[in-house]
Amino acid sequence: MNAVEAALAQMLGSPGLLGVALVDAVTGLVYGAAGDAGAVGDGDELARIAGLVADTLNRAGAAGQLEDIVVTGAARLHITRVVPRQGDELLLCAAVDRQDTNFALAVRELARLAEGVMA
Amino acid sequence: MTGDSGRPERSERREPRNVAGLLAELREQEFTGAAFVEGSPGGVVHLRGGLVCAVQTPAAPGADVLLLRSRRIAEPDWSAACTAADHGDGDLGAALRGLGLIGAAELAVLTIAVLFDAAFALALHRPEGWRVDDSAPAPPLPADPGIEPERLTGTTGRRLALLTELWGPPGELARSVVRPSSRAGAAIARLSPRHRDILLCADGRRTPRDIAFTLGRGVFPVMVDLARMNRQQLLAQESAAAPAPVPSLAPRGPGMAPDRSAAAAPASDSLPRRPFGGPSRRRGSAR
Repeated sequence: MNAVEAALAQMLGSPGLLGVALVDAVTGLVYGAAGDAGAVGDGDELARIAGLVADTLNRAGAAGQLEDIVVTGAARLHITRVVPRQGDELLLCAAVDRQDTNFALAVRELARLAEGVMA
Repeated sequence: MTGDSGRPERSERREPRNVAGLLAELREQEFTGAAFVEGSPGGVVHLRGGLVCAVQTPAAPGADVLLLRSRRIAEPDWSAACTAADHGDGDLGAALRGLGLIGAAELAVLTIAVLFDAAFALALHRPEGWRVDDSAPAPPLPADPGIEPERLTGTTGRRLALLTELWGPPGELARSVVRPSSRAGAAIARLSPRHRDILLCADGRRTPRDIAFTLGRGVFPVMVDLARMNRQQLLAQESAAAPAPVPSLAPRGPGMAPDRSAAAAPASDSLPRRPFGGPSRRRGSAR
């Protein structure tokens, strides 16, 4: 287990968090994952989707303003949170069980976790 | 060099089919040491217990370049960490963490990113051979634990395939020098800071590798950004450069074929497949 996976493993106590991964926003490289990695998704796909959304926002005049991408399913939320840093951005991606939390709390919790992931 | 039979002599060199095969073999042996990949530019793959813990090559920036050029760490702080490591047990990562310059998770991200990027950069060039050395000194900032060679070669193959899809032969892109197109000026306000930095760096003389070193980013992420910016017609190509390398680290498999077209193509055919910077750009008169 590398240091990223150790940090992610500590997040699994958060309400409803099924799985979480730290992904490179440009290359899609997965630096670490914890919990149900299959529920979180493939790193290349996550980075590609985040790139498409960011490009769309850029063209709409909101360059560099992407914070979260939230996909709501009947039973789960899928949240991708941009982790800004010096260098290429990272994505903290999580699958959340809606029975154990709600939309607003889940997004807020992932934002809190993202702030500390590189500490 | 050939033997009496006309076949290549195998002498001291091991003969897996390629570097990926060599790494798989070393994984089975749980080898600790280094595999020196010969060629231009060549590189070193460091292994611990068969896992790849670092890759170093002049073709891609190392952790020091990424940290310093991106201004993540100031040069005096970096020097202080190097001095502390030299006077301690030589563990630069521990020195960086001990001085509070970087956290453990960020350091892990850095070492893994550098490792994969260097492997990709190595794969853009044909290796002339390799040798293994179990007494090679350990790398300064190893990934801990290392990466399974199968994952490394699989990811490298996918990276080459992605660039082939987005741009064309990756070896050709690696040799390209670009500058902003006439459309770039109007679009720059609506680009991400990352893409803006690339445009500011693309002066018609820098290759993707040069841009990566200048910005303190990986070679592969810069090439991906360039390929995507090219699709948005933000770039114009100056000219093709240098002789053609051929990637060979990539494993065999669907979508992972080596970029032999780059090596085989004559110079006049080495122009990009898609028009750079819009329809008015050239044909056959780049030189």
